[in-house]
Amino acid sequence: MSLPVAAPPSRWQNWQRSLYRFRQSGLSIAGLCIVLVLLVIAIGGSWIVPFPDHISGGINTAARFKPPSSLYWFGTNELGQDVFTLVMAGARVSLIAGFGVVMIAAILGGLIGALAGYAGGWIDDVLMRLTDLMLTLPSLILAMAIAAALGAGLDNMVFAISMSWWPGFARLVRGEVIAKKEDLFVQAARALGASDSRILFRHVLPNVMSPVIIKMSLDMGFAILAVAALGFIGIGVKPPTPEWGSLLSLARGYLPDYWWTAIFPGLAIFFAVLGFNLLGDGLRDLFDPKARR
Amino acid sequence: MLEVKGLSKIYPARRGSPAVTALDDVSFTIAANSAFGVVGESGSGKTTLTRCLIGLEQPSHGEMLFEGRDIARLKPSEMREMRARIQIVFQDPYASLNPRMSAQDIIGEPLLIHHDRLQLSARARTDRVVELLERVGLGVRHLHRYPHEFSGGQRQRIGIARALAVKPDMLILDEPTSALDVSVQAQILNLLVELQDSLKLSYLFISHDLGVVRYICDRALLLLHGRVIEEGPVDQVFDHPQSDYARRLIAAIPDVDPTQSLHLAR
Amino acid sequence: MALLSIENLHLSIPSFEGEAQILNGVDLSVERGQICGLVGETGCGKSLTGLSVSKLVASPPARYRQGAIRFDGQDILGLSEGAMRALRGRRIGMIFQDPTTNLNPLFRIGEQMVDVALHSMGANRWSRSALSEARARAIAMLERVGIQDAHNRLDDYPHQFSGGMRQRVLIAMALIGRPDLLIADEPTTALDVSVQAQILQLLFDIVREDNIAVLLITHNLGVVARLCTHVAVMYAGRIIERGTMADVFNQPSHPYTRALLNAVPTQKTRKGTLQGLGGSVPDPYLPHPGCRFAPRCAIAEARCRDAVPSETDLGHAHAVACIKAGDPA
Repeated sequence: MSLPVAAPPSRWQNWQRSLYRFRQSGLSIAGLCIVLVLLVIAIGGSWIVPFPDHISGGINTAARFKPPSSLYWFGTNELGQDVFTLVMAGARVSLIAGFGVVMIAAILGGLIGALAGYAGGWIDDVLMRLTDLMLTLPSLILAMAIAAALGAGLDNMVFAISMSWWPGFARLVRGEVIAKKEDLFVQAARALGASDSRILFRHVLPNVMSPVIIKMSLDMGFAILAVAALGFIGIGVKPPTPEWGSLLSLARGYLPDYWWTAIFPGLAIFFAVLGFNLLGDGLRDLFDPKARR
Repeated sequence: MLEVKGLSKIYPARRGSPAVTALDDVSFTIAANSAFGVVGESGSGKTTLTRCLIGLEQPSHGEMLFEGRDIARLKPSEMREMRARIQIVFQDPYASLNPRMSAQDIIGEPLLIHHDRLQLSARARTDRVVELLERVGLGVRHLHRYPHEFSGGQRQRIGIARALAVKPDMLILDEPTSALDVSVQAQILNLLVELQDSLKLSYLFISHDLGVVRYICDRALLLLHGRVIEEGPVDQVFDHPQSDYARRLIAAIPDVDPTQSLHLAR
Repeated sequence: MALLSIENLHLSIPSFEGEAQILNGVDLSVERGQICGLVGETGCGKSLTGLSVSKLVASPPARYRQGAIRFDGQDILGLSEGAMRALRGRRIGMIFQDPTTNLNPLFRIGEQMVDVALHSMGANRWSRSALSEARARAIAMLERVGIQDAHNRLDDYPHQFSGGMRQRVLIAMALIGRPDLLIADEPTTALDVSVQAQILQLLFDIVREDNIAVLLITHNLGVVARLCTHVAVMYAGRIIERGTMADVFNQPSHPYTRALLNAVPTQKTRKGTLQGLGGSVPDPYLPHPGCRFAPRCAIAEARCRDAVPSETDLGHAHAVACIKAGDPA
C-alpha cells in the first residue's frame, strides 16, 4: 500500500526555508553582507582601487599625510600612499591568512579530536593531554615564537597561528564525536557490520560538521585579529605587502595628528571581526536542530 | 532457527556499584518462520538480550545457537556473515536513521557493507533499493529524500527496508511501533505480518505492549530482572499466566475497553 | 458554567510556508470532577490546546484569530502575563511527559517544591513562617502522591528518584498550589506499564478526593478508557467527537474515532486483520474546504467536501462533527 502524502519540500524549498530563518535575524544578514563585501574586495580589490601602484610599494612623496579628501578617501600616509588603496589591498592578505589559519586548524584539530573521541582509551588520553598542553601555552606567544623562529612571511605566519589554534577544534570535535557515536543510527550501522572507518567518516563526522562550520566562521574574525596582532608587532607579513596590522603599527607613530592613517585600518579589522562573528551567530541559529521544524 | 540456552550476562562490579545480573539463565527457542515475543519493563534485560544477539555484547554464560552455531563464538568474518542473517529494526525511527543520508543511501548501505559477498553493481544496488522501497509500501519517488522529509511511520518503513536489504532470515524488532501513533502502528504491524508471510521470516519481537505482542507473535516470554517468568504460546501466557507478576502486569495494561475504567471499579 | 470552556478557538503560527492553521475552532469544556481525555494523532493540535489554556504559547508569533478560553469565568486570552502567572501553579497545574527533563537536576527536590509552594502562597523565602509552611506543604504533598519517608527525601536530588517517582514528584509540584484544573500532557507515556497503572490510580484518587478538573492529553486510548470520564477526539485542529468516555468508546460516531479504536489490537483481533488508517494528517498550510478528514475517510461522499460539518448533538452531551452522523448506517 502506498501512502498519499502532501508533496514533501524539494531541496530548493529547504534551502529557501533556511534562508528565511536566516533572514529573520537582521544581524546575521548584516554579518553576511560584511563578509560578502570583504570577499569582493579581497578578490577584486587590486583592480578597483584608485592607486594600484601603491600596493606594490609605489610612493608619492609629494602627497605625504594628506587628510581624507575626494581624491584620497582615507587620506595618505608618510610615504604619500593612498590609505584607502592599502586598506582595500589588505583585505586580501587578512582573509587569506584568516581562512588559512581556520582551515588548517579545523582539519588538523578535527582529525585529532575525531580520532581521540572515536577510539577512546589510551589514544584519547595521549591526544587530549597533548591538546591540553597546547592550550596551556598562551596562543599569541606561541604563535610569536613559531613565527619568529621561522622568519617573517605570510605562509610562516599562517602556519604559526594555526599551530596554536587547532586545540579548540580538537576539543569541540572530540566532544561531538563522543556524543554522536552513541546515537542509535551509529549503533544501527554497527549492527549491520559496518567498519570503523565507514562509521566514523560516513555516520559520525558528517553529523558533527555544523558546530565545526559555526566555529570556523566565528574563529575567522579572531584569526584575522591574530594576523593583525602579529603584523602589528612586526613579525607578520613583510612590507611592502599591505596588511591591516602592520599598517596600524606603522601609523602608531603619527597619532594623533595623522589619525586617518591608523583609524581606517583599525576600522577594517573591526568590521571584519564583527562580520564573521555575526555570520557565525546566524549560522548557529540556522544549524540549531531545535529551530528546525 | 534460534536456540538460546542458559544465557546469562553479568556486568562486573565497578567502583561504587555492585555487579549487575542483566540476564539470568534465559532459555528459549524460536522456530523457523515464527514470531517470538519478549515482554518486559525497563531493567528487565530486554535490551541486553538484543545486544547479545546482534553481537554488540558478549554473554557471560550460555549459548545462542543460530542454526546450530553459537553466535558468541564466531570468528569476525563469520560474525559479519551472521549480521546479514539476523537484522534489527530499532525502536525510534527518528534516531535510527542518519539524518545526512538519503533513503537510497540508508537502505543501500547494507548492500555496500556486504559487497564482498553480494557483488551487486551500482545499478543492481539501486534496483534492489527501489524493490525494497516498494516492498515496504514506499516508492521510487522517495529514493532521494532525507529522513526529516518522512513521517514517523514512513521512517520506520525505511528502517524495515534497510533490515531486509541483505535478505536476512530473522528480524529482531526492538519496540518497532512504540514511537508511533496507533493508526500508523496498525499499518506497520500489518506490514510486518505480510512480510513474515511472503519472505518466510522469523521475528524476535521485543515490546512492552502486550496487545501488540499478542497480535504479532505465536509464542512469548516475560522477563523480570533478567529472569524468564513465563514462556509459552501467547494465548497461554496472556490468558492463563502462572505467576503473580504476570497477572499484575497484564492487569496493568490499559486496554481500549470501557469496562476496565477506574470509575466502574467501585 | 463549566470550570474550563474553550469556545471556537483558532490558533495560527506564521512560518516560511505561510500561516500554519493549528487550531480551527476547538470547542471543549471540562467541569470539576471530570477527567477529560484529549486524544488524536501527532500534529492534531492537542498539545497546543493544552498549552493555550495556561497561555504558554508564545504570542506573537502565534495568533489567536478567533475564540476564547474561559477559566472560571475569566477570559484567559485577555489576561496580562502577570495575572496569568498568578493563575499558573495556583489555580492551573501542569504535568508534562518527560519526568527527567522537567526537574532541574542541580536542585534538591525539596527546594524545587518549596519554590512552587511559596509561589502558590504568594510568599517569598524571606518569611520564616511562610518557608516552614511551604516545607510542610511539600512534605504533605509528597506523602499524598505516595512517596515514602517524604521528610527525608526532600533533600534528595532528582537523579536519586526512579522515573515513576519523578513523575510523582512532578504531580506533587503541580498539585501543591491546590489547583482547580490540572493539565496533564502525556503524563505516563515515558513510564513502564506497571508504573503507569499506579500513576493513573493516583490521578484518579486525587480527582475523586479534591474534585478538581483534569484535561488529559494523550495518544493512548487505553489510558483514556481506564482513567477518563469524558473524551474529546481531535483531528486537524478541531474536536470531531466528544462525550462521555463510555458513549464515545461504545458508540463511536465519527469515522475517525472508529478508525482510531479499530487500530488498537485487542484480544479478539486476528492476525493480519488490524485496520490501519491510510494517509496522513492534512497539511496545516493548505485551506481545506469541507471536512478535513474526508480525504482519509472510508465513507466520505461528495457533500463532505463542500462544507465544514457542524456538531450534531447525539444526546447526553455526546456530539459529533460529521454530516453523516444522523444517517442510517
